[in-house]
Formats: sequence, structure tokens, C-alpha cells
Amino acid sequence: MKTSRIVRLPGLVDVHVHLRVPGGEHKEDIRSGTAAALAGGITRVLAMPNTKPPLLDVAVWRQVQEQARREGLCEVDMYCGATAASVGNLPELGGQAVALKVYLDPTYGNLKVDGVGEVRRIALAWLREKVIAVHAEGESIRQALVLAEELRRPFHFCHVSRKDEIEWIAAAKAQGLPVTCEVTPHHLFLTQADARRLGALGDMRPRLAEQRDVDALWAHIDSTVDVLATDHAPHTLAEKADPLNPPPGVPGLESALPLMLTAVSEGRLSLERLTALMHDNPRRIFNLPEQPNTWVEVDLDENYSFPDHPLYTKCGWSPFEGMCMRGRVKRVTLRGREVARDGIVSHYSKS
Amino acid sequence: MNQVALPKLFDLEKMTRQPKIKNGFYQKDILSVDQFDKDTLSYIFTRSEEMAAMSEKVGRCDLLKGYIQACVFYEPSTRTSSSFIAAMERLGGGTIPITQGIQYSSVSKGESLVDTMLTLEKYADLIVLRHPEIGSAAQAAKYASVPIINAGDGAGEHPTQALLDIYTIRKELGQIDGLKIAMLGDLRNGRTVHSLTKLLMNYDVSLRYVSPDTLRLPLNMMNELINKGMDVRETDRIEDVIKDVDVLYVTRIQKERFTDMALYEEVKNYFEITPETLSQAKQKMIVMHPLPRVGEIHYKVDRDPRAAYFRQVQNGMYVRMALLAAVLGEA
Repeated sequence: MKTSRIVRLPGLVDVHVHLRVPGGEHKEDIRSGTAAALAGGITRVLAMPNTKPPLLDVAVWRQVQEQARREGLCEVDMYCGATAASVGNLPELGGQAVALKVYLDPTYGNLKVDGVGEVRRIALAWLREKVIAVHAEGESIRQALVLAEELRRPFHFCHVSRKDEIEWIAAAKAQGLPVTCEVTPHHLFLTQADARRLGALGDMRPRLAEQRDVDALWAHIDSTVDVLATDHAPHTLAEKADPLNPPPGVPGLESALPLMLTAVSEGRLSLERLTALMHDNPRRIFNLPEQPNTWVEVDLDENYSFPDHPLYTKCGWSPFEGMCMRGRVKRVTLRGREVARDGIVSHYSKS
Repeated sequence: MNQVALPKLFDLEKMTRQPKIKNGFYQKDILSVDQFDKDTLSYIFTRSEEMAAMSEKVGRCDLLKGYIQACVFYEPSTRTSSSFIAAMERLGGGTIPITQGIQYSSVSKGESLVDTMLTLEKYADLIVLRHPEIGSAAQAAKYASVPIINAGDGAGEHPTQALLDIYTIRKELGQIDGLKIAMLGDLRNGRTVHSLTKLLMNYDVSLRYVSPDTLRLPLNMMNELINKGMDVRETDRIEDVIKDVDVLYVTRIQKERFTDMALYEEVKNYFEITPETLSQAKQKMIVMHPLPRVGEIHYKVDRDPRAAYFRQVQNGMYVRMALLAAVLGEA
């Protein structure tokens, strides 16, 4: 007889999402991105500032935040960005943006800063207690850790992907540095071998790593890793098909919870830890308010081949297509209203 | 006073020093492996083969007779300096060996190195330079009017080592393209690994990097390899690669980089290549090492025909002969 254990989780938070507004609405817009979030059991997203134009000043930031509040099907909070030239805007942005994002290594967009000196200036202009999320890879992580020690400010390391990196962060935490970190589902479930198979559809920053890195991330999932975040970074298939320079990034909002539930069913993760990674810790680190009467019901026993529904993300694809999942999002309730059921988001029709 | 009319010493009309062959290297500094592409590599390797054939048959010739190199080594390297000196001697040229007692002073201060270069260029036709600071060779090249050959600038580059490495692979295995090449050891700090990696980007090879986590290949270099579409993988277990590699390039794990000596001991032994390790490898493959070794390769392995590291040393001389001759316009 088929078992079916329905479990209720709190509305999940994704602290690393690219909604592509403004300037990239052909990849994703606020409605499609937030619909994808709800379909995946996520009721609050934090959106990244590497848009066109980037969110570097209060006027642009406020306009986009207001648009997101108006159009979003779930709650949306906006990061702001910073470059050496925009440091002067940070005191004002600091009162409003959910957190600051700084890019130490190249990825999609033009927000990379040069060197620790610039990061220090930016960090000092930002509110002392508010999170500075950093895109840092390899040696940059070590440099940022040194800075975190010097400044004693809350640095959050986005999408940690390699064994040496997670071990550096573990050592820094052991020393009492105020640092936190997130990992992504793609770095937990895919390797360079998958990158070969997937081609551009398996390319993102940081890149997929090796099996030993994946193993190390899992080894730290109950300790060093604070947050599971998707780094949902949609690009259209046409853009990904560019033979010369396909943009890096993969969507992840709709696959994250199914993947983590699959890990729960395999005994690699407890449901309590999943809740900590996708709800408790994000709320604590980013100081996010509670969403009253908000929960996600999942069936822990349902097996299916992903995706179980037409994808809501505008880009329309997933690097996890065809993967066998165990654990399905059944129903999402946001502030007392049912907003998604069996992969169908209420009151949403694709344009 | 009456001037006695002397017969002229030199018949200058008949004497010239025109380069015989003006290739892309004539009077050029050799500072970085970035200067080489597939064609220039092929040129140097063909010349190296000629040098090898000549040396094996007659030992020396007069190709560079009348030329003088200055070998300036601010840090000791018996191996590299004697290789350059032997290369020049076998081609009939001479050497000003400055391999002992020269005081290292910071390149950032500058004067000492520059003054030394400006002095030696008056004596020598080219200068071979080893210096502990990154960028020192490039700085010397900026001031010296004779060509500079970089024989190692700190953690920067050591281009002639990388050239002889590739030449050895080609000579031993007949080709470069299509090979699976594993590099093992301290991939984070090892400049030979970095230079060899850069050169191998010119070829269609599979690269495997084996190291403990703390000594992985720098991420920017790994990203560059993936960007180029190279077949590249990393692991911390030699077992993952030993069965099907064509080249096992072993490097020294530098003790001085470790603060935790227990970790060093663990890592050191982890990577020792023994006859048992090689028993899992293909019959047609080679083991290389830039030398000196400190326990990464067991002495018993030396007797294995696949151990190529001493042949590699000999190849180094041939490649340096080819480079010296090319830079001086005689090859």
C-alpha cells in the first residue's frame, strides 16, 4: 500500500534569487519569478542587485522594490549593490535594503569590485549590523575572511562550492568570526561530470566542482552551512545556446525543495535541519519578519520525475530535468490564503 | 714623437656578426610561457632534437663560438645554472657564472638588479637570470639591452622548465595531443605546474590534478582551463587517475609551506610514488619530476623504464641549447 506522509513546513525563504528586474524581463519578471518560488514552496525571496541598471542608488532601488511589492505573488526583499563609485549611496540605502551584495569575483553583470581595499571602504560605509553578502571564490574567500576578522562585521558567503572553501569558513567560525554561509542545491547535487553532460545548462558561478567538494559540503550541512539558497539565475535557452559566450547561471526555485526532500528521504538530512537551512537561519541572519499563517505542505513519500508541473520560471528549463525526486510540494498557504496546489499557482496564467 | 705604423689587427671588412637565422626569437627576451604557441613550440622542439643528435654524436660544436652568456643566480639552483652553462659550452660559447655570493636586494628598491644588468650587458650577449621575486625578469628586461632569459622569478614563471617538460613528453611518447596528463603534489604554489599548465593549453590534452585540498590548483587557473573547454578534473586520490594516465608529473610538496608538521607528514606520505603505485599504471606511460625530490618518488622507482625524470634533466640541456641559439640568431 502506498504511504503518504504529509508534513507541514513553515513558508520557506530563499535569500539568493535573481528576478532579473529591471532590464532582464525576457529571462524572468517579478510575477514569473515569484510564481516559480511558490510552486517550489518558497514564500519569501531576496532579490539580487546585478540588474540593468544595477541597484546602486536609492531612486532605482526604491522603484524596483515598490514594483516587486506590487507585482510579487510572494514577498520580495531587495538587496542593494555597491561599487567603488557608489559608496556614497550606502548610508541611505542601508536603512532600506535587506542586505548589501558585493562581488569579489566575476559573474553575470558588472558589479565586480577590485581588491580588498575597495571591499573595506564599502563595508565601512554600510550599516554595522546589517549583512554584507559576498560573491567570493577561492582566494577571495580567504581575503574576505581576513576582512571579517578585521572589521568584525557580519559577512555572509554566498554559494560556497568547494571543500577548501567550506573548511576555511568552518575554521573562521570556530575562531568566533561573525560569518555565515549558504550553499546551493546545484553544488550539492551536481559535479563537473554533470557540467560536461549539461554544457551551458550546467554552467554557473561558482562553477560545479568535483565529487570531493560535494561530499565536503554534505559533511558540513549540519554544522558550517547556515543557509540553503538557490542562486536562481535564469537565462533563456536561446541565450544559453550562444556558442561563444553563454551567460552563466541556472534556475533553481522550483527544484530546491524537491531536491532537499529527496535528501531527507535518503537520510542525508533531517527535516529539522532542512527547516533550519531554508527558514530559521535565513530569517535570523537577514532579520526577516515572520509571515503569519504561512506554511507549505509536502508529501514526503511521493516519487516522481522532475518537473512534476510546467515550470513557472520564464526561462522554462531546469538542470535537474528528468531527475527522480522523492518528496513533493502539495500545497502552499501564504498569509492564510492557498496560493499553490499540486504545482499549480493560483491566479496566475503565463503571459 | 713618431707614430710607428702598425699592421691592423682585424680585417673588419671581412668580419660580420649577422644573424644566420632570424626567427621569432632573435634578440627576444624569454620571460614567460605566454610567449609560446603551438608553432613556436614546434620550432624550438625541432631545434632541440637537432641539438640532442649533435650532442650525442660529437658532444660539442662551434655554433655559438664567440658568444658569452651571463648566468646570474640570486638564489642557488645548481641544476638550472649548470644546465645553462653546459648548454652554452656544448655550443662553443662561454659563460660568466655569477651563481654564488651575489647579494639579493629587493627588486622594489631596484638599483642593484638594474645596475647588475647594465654592467653585465657590456660583457655578455645575453643574460640568464634567476631571482626570488615575481616580475624581476621583466624588470631586468626593461633595462638590459641584451636578451634576458628568465630562469625562474620567485613564484612567478620558469619558462625553460615548462618547455623541457613538454619536450620530454613529446620525445618519450611521440606526441602531446590526445594524452592524459596528471599533475600531482603542491599545485597551489608550484610554478612548474602553473607554467606547464599554461603551455598545455596549446594542446588537446586531458588534465588531471591530484592534490590535498590545501594545495589545489588556484581557482582562477582552473576556471581558465574550463573556459577553454579543456577536459580537466581534480581529485585528492591518486587511485582515481593512475590507471589510465600517460604522464604522471610529480612535484615536491614544500615543507616550508606547512605550519602544521603533522599535516605535512600525512600529506607527504600520501603522495609517495612507489613501485606498487606504478604497478597499477599503464605500461606505456612516464613519470616526471622537476627535481629535486624529497621522498615523493621512491628510489626503487628509478629503475623502472617509465621513470623519465633523469632523461628530463638531459632534455633540459638540449632545449636550452636550442633557445640560446635561437635568441642569438644561430638557430
